[in-house]
Amino acid sequence: MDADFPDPTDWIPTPVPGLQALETSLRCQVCKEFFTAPKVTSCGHTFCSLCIRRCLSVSSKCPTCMKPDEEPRLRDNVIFSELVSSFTAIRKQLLDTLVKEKEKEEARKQAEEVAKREAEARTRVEKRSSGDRGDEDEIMEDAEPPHRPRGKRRRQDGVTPRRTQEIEAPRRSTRTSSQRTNSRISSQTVVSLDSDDDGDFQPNEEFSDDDFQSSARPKRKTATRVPDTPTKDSSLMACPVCGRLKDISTIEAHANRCLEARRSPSPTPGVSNGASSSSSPLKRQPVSFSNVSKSQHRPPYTAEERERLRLPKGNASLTKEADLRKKLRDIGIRCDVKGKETKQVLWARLQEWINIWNANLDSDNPKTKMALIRDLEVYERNQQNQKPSVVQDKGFEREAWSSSHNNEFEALVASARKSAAQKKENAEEAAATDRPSDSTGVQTELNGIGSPEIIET
Amino acid sequence: MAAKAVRRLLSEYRELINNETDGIYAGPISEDNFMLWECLIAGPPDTPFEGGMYSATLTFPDDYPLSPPTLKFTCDILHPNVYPDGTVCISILHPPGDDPNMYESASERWSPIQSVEKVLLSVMSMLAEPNDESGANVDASKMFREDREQYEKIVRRCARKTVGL
Repeated sequence: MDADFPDPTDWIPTPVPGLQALETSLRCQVCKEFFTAPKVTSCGHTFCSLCIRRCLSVSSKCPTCMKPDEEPRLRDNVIFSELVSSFTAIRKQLLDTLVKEKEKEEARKQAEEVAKREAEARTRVEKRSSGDRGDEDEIMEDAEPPHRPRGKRRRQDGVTPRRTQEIEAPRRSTRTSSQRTNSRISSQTVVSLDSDDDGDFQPNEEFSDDDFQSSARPKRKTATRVPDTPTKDSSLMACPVCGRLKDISTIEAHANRCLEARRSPSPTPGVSNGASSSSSPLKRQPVSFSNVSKSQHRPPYTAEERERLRLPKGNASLTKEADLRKKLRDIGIRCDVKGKETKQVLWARLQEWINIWNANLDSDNPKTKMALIRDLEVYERNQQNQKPSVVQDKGFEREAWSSSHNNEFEALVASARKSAAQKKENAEEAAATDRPSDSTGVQTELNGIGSPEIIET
Repeated sequence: MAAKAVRRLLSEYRELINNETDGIYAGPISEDNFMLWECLIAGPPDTPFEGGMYSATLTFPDDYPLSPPTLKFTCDILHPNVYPDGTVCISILHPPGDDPNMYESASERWSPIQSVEKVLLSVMSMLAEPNDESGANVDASKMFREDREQYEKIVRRCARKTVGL
């Protein structure tokens, strides 16, 4: 197809077909595009932020390995976004260079071939002149150009591509989430980590590109490395009260503490602040404060910080329809007043909004809210076509089709009638003999195969 | 049409063209509708299906690849895992959570990282090794189990028919 639709297979005809594997692993396996805002799951697979969020809202499993996973566990895959941006920057140049190289090589080969032919012709002439022409055929065979299409080789290359990302990633995720297991006391380190996360969304605010690479990256590393108690991810569980990930063995005690703290009048870290009470615990992912004090009081979010919070998914059965409507209206998303839309539709819309919103926060170039709302509308419009469970070709004209295939349909109807009658007969026969023979069963079976179109008429 | 799904299908189509797999041919029927594909699957060798060329249509939902496509044979085929109307019933085409026969494990179900190529390869191996425990076509499963000779005879006849013999 067009050259403006880049694809890993572009590399196949080049002298370095292995680049196909490289590019394949730089692409999201869900959308097959280069990663946008890559996120790594707790099992170590990387996807675009929006892709994985959508997948997880359909089923809470990693699309690659089917291990259960949740959105709050997703982590930025920083190195991949760097790889993608540097690869896409050089891609065109690299491809052009390689194609040119290939052309040059071919031209050289052709020249060589011509030279060889000429040489052969000369030897033949010499031989003929010496009267010895016995092994001419043999020479002809040797002269067969060593040209061999390089097609099949890449299949083996194609097998390995996705591994690379899986090796690198798990370490990150365990590191970050193991931090969360460190109890409240170390909340300062947790906070500093997340502050970094937040800084990511709009790197250009504080750093120019170069600054960002030189100063921000190392900072991330030192911040993330601090407490290294190796804890298995699978043993983590979100506290039902404050939403922090805790080790399963300590979760009960922790939850009790949280509950007690909530009951007592003094404000406590988990429950004190701005997050509205209807929202789920996930909202309370720590936000950055350089002046966080050991007292574990968290000052309320500023407006700017609130803008950058990941939205929680909430719980469908705990949310009332009226609240849902209010929420959507508050955001500025279209929803009808009369209550025509079912709760299910509204819920799906809110979920998709949350996916789009959160993925936008992960992006390097965040869009405006209006643009996001438009995105949501486009997405919904696309989904609406899907309403009938069987998708039909839009250009399909029922009338024309049925008139042009009328004969076949009639023949089918006739044969179906016949087979139905036969079936009946057989059934009666079978009832009479009480023992259906296999061959009649086969007959009806075969007749049955052709019959589906009958429905069409 | 869903732009995202179309882009992904375009990508898959390119890969299929440039990276041909033996015995599998697939592509959109018309450029206007990328959500409806036609495909040809060669009968796997050393099976009664050998020599047959089975035509089928692949229909993609608008939220592809979140939901799986459906595959429907448009030629006569007798197989325990193909409904009499031609619809194929294999685990890779079922979204996780929806198990019509209460049989499959989640790991072999549809996931967004699967692709047309993988689906067609699975269908090919399904042809070679029918699963008569979760039959879609009960008569075919019964025949497969009890009267293998007859089953193979019919299958061979269908295979010849698919290539117009």
